[in-house]
Amino acid sequence: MIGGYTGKILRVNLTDEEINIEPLNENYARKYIGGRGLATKYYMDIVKDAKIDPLDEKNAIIFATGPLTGTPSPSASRYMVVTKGYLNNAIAGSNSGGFFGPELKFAGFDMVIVEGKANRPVYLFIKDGKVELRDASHLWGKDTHETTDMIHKELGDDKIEVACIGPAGENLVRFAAIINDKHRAAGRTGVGAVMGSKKLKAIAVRGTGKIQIADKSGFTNVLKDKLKKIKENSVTAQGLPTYGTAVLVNIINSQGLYPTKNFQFGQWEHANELSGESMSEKYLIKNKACFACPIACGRITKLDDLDSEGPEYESLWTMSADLDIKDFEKVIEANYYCDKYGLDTISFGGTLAAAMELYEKGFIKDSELDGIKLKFGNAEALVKAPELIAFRKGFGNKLAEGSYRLASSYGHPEFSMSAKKQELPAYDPRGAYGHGLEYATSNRGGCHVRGYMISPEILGLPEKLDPLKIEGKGAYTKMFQDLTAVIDSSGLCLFTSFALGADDYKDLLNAVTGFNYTTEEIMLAGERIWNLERIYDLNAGFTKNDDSLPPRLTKEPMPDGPNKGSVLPLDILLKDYYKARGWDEEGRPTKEKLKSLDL
Amino acid sequence: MIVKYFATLRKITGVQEENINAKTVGELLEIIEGKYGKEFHDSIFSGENFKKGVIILKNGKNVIYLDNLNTKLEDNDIVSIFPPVAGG
Ligand code: SF4
Repeated sequence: MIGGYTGKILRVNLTDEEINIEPLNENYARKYIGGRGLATKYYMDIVKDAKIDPLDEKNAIIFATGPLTGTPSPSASRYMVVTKGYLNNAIAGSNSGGFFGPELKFAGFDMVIVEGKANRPVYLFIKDGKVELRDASHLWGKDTHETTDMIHKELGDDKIEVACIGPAGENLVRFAAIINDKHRAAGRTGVGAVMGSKKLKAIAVRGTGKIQIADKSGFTNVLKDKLKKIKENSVTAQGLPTYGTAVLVNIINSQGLYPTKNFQFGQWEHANELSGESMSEKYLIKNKACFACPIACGRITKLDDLDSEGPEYESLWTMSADLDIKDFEKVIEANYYCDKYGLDTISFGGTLAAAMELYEKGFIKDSELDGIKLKFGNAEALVKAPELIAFRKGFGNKLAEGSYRLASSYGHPEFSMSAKKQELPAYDPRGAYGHGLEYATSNRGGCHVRGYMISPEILGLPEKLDPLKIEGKGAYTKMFQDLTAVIDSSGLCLFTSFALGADDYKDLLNAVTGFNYTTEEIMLAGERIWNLERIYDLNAGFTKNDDSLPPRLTKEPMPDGPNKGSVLPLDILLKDYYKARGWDEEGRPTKEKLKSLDL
Repeated sequence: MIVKYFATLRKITGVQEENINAKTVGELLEIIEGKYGKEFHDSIFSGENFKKGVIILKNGKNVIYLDNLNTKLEDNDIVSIFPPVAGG
């Protein structure tokens, strides 16, 4: 028996309001695991034209769980949104925790595939195998919190899990997110805008079903072993629960790769005041865990009458050091608005940072700005920006296009700190070369969670690599990217990887699915998924030239701190990486490579 | 020199930073352990070696790329000590 999967895929065409239920393709499931991998395979089968406009009616958007999602496996909370991203036209896989993914499984589906465009706002309600398209005209214009509450009220059940868009998604902001559990985001790549273009306001799910486990007694032992590892690991048992992800602020800043003022500097003098440690002291009410998560890195914070979650490390950085804003309360407030209006925090802050640099250098004029000065350090601009962007009001309309299009419109794309048009996260790669390689090669554009090289290069986990060495980084980055593809496809949270390795994921997958993978086979599946995404991007028109980073990082020496003088030697790193991947010099998978991956 | 403590270490030391003088990183850690005892030792060491993920920086440089415990210290250096932590 195959466990883990419900065996059912829900297909909804919004144009003709057609709803179908299809059996899961088990061969695909074995080959691509689930979540990110399996959904990418389905997506490419359905949307054959890789050059399609992401907002075209024929584009599809998929909400996919993994075989471990909703099982008692540690941190089995994830679902993945796969589509063509509106921010950058690359394959978008955006994942989120909370409780939505597990609930979708309990309601009977591994995946929801949405195609077409509705002629009025709608939302999808799924309850224990029954599916209904409901009018959402009254929800259109509402924020993600109001939408969630209103759906709970009208369906009379506040246990319903809601993944929805806010005004940002409706107004096709390039970096609109999909928000579930009010504060959990499938944030990156503009998946919220694709949902908005389909006039799909929300997916609401409720389920009481059970997920089958192929080897029940084996699973009990495997689970015990993995939970023990998580409980005995200082990172997953102490660091993350005590301080959340923002514990990184001081580590990254002390080592001189904490991007400051749009990556102009590598250290910020106020880091300690706006860090995980100070957040715990001043604003933390309690921790919050996603489904079945023993780590509980989530933060419930309180600020006056604002009950918020976070900010997480990336969000905290992007709204503080990257903008030189020292007012912690304003950062918490702006982070709250981003969740409420449905904006990706990293791209939000990155876009504002680029705008501030363009303003200070005289390219953006006061006359364009409706009285808000876009100077670094201006906290007023930070708290006003989410609303202006989400509703595309005034200058917010330009910011809603993301940093790359904004900076290009002034003739200076070099001020956009992005890769493949997606804003970079909170690590300056001039202080961690492998991580720079990861930014440049991430299939969804600038991103830290496709192969988190900060872990070995800076944190020393699972082993310490010299961050400023080139040798071996290609193969290591490849290995991390492939393993991440496995984790994202299984339905677990990536943070489990601070305590677990490939063998552990194999054990969990085998006990739950009964597939009997070897560790080599799951790593091969990860590599297959990576190459599939790469093929998509190449078909969509990306080339080797897009595996690039802003000249600030590859040409301008770091001006300060312990990495002073360093530039990222990206060309050499890329050569090494293509070789490790078995790709040709143009970064294309060779015929032999594709054959060996059964693609 | 200034010694800075981070994350869970602050719960043990009760201070974020303090002035301690020592000639090497090894000597410095001995002084700190003398002050804060076994709890501090166990946060940093596993047996003789640093725990996986422990980071000790001299002026922002990881001491494992300098001379590890034998890394020389001067009066105006800043030493930062982190227990194993991560995020993302
Ligand atoms: S580690 Fe954090 S983000 Fe991951 S599942 Fe647990 S609470 Fe959620």
